[in-house]
Amino acid sequence: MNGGKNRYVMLMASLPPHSADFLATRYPPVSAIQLQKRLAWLSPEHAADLNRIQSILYWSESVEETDAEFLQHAQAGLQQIDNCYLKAIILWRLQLRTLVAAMRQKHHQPQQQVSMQMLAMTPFARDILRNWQLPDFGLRYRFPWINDIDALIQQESYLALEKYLLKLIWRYYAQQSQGHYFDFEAVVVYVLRWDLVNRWNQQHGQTARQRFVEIMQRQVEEAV
Amino acid sequence: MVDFIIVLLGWSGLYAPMALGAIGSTIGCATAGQAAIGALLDSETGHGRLVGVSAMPSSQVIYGIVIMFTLQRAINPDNAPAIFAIGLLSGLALMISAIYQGRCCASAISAAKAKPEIFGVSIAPAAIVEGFAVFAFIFALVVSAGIPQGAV
Repeated sequence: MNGGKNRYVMLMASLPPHSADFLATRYPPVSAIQLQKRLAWLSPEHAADLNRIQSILYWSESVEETDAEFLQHAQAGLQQIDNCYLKAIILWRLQLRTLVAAMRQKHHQPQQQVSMQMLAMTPFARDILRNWQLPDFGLRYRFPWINDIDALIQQESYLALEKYLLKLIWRYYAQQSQGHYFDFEAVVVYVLRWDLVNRWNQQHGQTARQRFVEIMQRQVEEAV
Repeated sequence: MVDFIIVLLGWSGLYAPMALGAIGSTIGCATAGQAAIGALLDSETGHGRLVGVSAMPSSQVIYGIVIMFTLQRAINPDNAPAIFAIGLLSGLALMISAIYQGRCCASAISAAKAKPEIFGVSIAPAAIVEGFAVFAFIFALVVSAGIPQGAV
């Protein structure tokens, strides 16, 4: 009787709630060390699933991978996760990432369409390619926020775009967490939201500039 | 043989409110208790009341015991069906209310540890669930008054 909906009552009750306005918070609700201690209560299977989800969605840690390698890695991870709810969350995130990447590419290289391989994680690949000239790829009825993202890319307001995307993802996670309070799904959503807060709080202008220079140097060296 | 089965069902019905109430209270208190233990790790004060709330689902087993004693009489084929029906259905109602009350209490504990000022309001849903258990208890007592006393 200790499974299913109430499996992680103690774990979830031991975690402080997230703030409603995460962009205004200066620290995550719980430290990384404390969070890891609590996550040690997960069953081995769930801990492995959480690791797989993190390895797919924390793409800042897989920056060295090529698109093809990342896709292979993501598809292999998804196949091993036996939970439709979590798969849907992962696919939504990958889909959002793909759409934003396609819109960025269109903004910078309007004549060069993205490859089918890059669109492999979205079921709207054909719509994107067919409607490449449209600002919203003809997807605004399915994704009402797509025009806002396009406007921010056109204005090259990248900080505002980052905030918009984080808020969008935050709201999506909040919607998905409805009905999941003490189960594994609740734990996963909590950790993903924690990551958003943590990522936002780690934004640092100087570090970003340094990283940008490093990436540029690497690209130049590769090109030479 | 038929009489034996009917009497057996009667005895099952007699013990059902207590047994099912105990199962429900066990699950409910365990769920809420785990939430209370988790909340202790994330709160500095108010530990006593958090643990106290986790005991709310224990009332169902007490109602079950009272119903069991109210139904208790010499069981024969005349009164066994009534004892079975009232005992089983009231027991199920108590068990389910205890399980769900445990979930309400776990949510209340989880919310109140982060926002102590909502403690009172947060246990209202658990109190409402308790109300349904009380209905099942009271009307089991009322209806059981009509069951014929068996010859000893």
